[in-house]
Amino acid sequence: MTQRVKITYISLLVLLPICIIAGTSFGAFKIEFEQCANILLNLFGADNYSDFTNPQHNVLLYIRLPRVCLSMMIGAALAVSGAGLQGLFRNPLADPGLIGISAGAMLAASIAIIMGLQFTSGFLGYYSISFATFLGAILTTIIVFKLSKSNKSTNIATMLLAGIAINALAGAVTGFIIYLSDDDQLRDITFWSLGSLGGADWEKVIALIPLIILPIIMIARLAKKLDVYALGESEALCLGVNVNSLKRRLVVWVTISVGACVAIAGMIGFIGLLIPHITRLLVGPKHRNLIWISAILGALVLSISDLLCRLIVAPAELPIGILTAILGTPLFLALLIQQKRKING
Amino acid sequence: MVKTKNISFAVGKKNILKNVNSTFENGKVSAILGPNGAGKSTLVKCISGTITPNKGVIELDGKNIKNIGLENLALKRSYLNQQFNLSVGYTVKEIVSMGRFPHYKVYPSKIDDEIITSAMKLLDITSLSDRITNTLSGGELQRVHFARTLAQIWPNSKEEQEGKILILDEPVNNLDPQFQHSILELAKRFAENHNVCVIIVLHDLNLVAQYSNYSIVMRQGEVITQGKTREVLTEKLLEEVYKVPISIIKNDHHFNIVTGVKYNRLENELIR
Repeated sequence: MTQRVKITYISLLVLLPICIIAGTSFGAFKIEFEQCANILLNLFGADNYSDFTNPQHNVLLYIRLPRVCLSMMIGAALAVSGAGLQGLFRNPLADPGLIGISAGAMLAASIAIIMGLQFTSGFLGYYSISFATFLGAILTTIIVFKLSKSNKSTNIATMLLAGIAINALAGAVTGFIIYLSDDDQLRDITFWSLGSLGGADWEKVIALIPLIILPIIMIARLAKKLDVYALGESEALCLGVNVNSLKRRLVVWVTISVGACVAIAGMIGFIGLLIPHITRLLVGPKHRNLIWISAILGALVLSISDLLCRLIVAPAELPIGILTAILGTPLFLALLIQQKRKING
Repeated sequence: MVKTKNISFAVGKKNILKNVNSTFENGKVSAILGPNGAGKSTLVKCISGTITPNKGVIELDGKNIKNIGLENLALKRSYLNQQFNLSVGYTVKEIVSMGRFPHYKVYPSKIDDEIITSAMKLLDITSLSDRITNTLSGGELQRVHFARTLAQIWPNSKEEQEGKILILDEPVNNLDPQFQHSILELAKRFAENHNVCVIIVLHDLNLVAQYSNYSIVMRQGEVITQGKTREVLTEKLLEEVYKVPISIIKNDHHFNIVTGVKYNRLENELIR
């Protein structure tokens, strides 16, 4: 591990608890840093700290902490998915939106909303839109994958084109559904398409853990193969990589994690595209570092973005998709310009 | 030893290889030559295992290549493609290290590191070690990938005689004469010292004459002739295959082929 990689890991890992405290402390309801730290320490058994009120304890524990956890998990999942797909397409412009996962999920969400699925009762009823969204993501990926299959192998260029086509189709159908929807449904769909972590609770966090942590670990395990895959398909094959299995596994894990993210928080753009890119500029293209650092950076960036969403227009909230784009783009451009300067001397 | 038995390969209705039978021996350099579109690259792709022929069998030391398994095959055979993808952002050392990929699980061993260093030294790219590959010239990149290909089948000890396979598809395309000769010299040394079976696709007939022991001449997907280079390559055959005047200068020490001119020994002048 080079010095640069070590420094990046350490500084990001130092920022992580700071972000958790900031995320749980700031907001419409005031909880001081110290109180916040006390409540968190209390959680781990250090019960001699009690300089806080009960409402503060409850807001922090049942509203803010799950929300911070959710934002960090979703940020990590989207960033790692982006890193994996960029490796698969050997193109730094790829992101989960590109192969239609998000658009398919969005379409399913819109259909679920216009069909009034959220008003049915029971457990499945409560999460029916999320289920529909997750299924939509998986179904779209299966279609794109089938379309790009020829002669037992998957053609990546065809997959990209099929993804773009499915994206356009899903977009158009979603548009049609928006046209048909009434005012309330329209508001729901718009909210979904801009993303929000507003509904966070521990139930959602726990439901997401396997759907996010497992794919991240599985994608990270493909790191070495993705490096070799960067040489080209036939080169990777000659170096003993089962290219078809690599593609299949990567797409499956990306679909599961992105599908789950969109199902819980709606469409959150830019994280999947920007974070791996920024990470690559920081620590180079080797996938082992790229994937893990993307995960941490994605977690940090999305939790900070979510915090800002809550603060900027408090007590109301800004949809997070707007903020990730506004925050991410200038940062990304600054890094690009810096790199250009480095190359030009 | 590599044997192709009756292999055919077609894309749609176009037959690119037609019943190709060929043998490539260990410890020897075998050249595959023929005009553009003869099927040379397709043949080496089949041998490397990156494409599967529609018909026929490829045997590696008597075993069907299909039954060897990708990972085991990667320990025995390396293949240098004609074109390289731009592996954006990777350094020269990282690319060469990828040649050792089949040999380690998580991190390269000390031996792997030594091999990587030796391969880079051999190809004179040690000074480029930390350069990002997209800033290299075509020739430098070619040497980087050649080093990677060599690292993959590099013998673990000086005495190793396992008989690995080195497949090179037009390895000297972007290189100046100095590196053309040094790369082919290296391939020849690997064949002779480590019993490697070297298979090279080459266009430069003079290089074929100087470095190969065996030649396989192809045209339109078929093997026209194969055998010892000195015996098989005649002016008549090559002129028929390439449709250009060809002169062969041959004695006990030299074997050179000049294309595009006819050298008349009696009148000692060049006749176009």
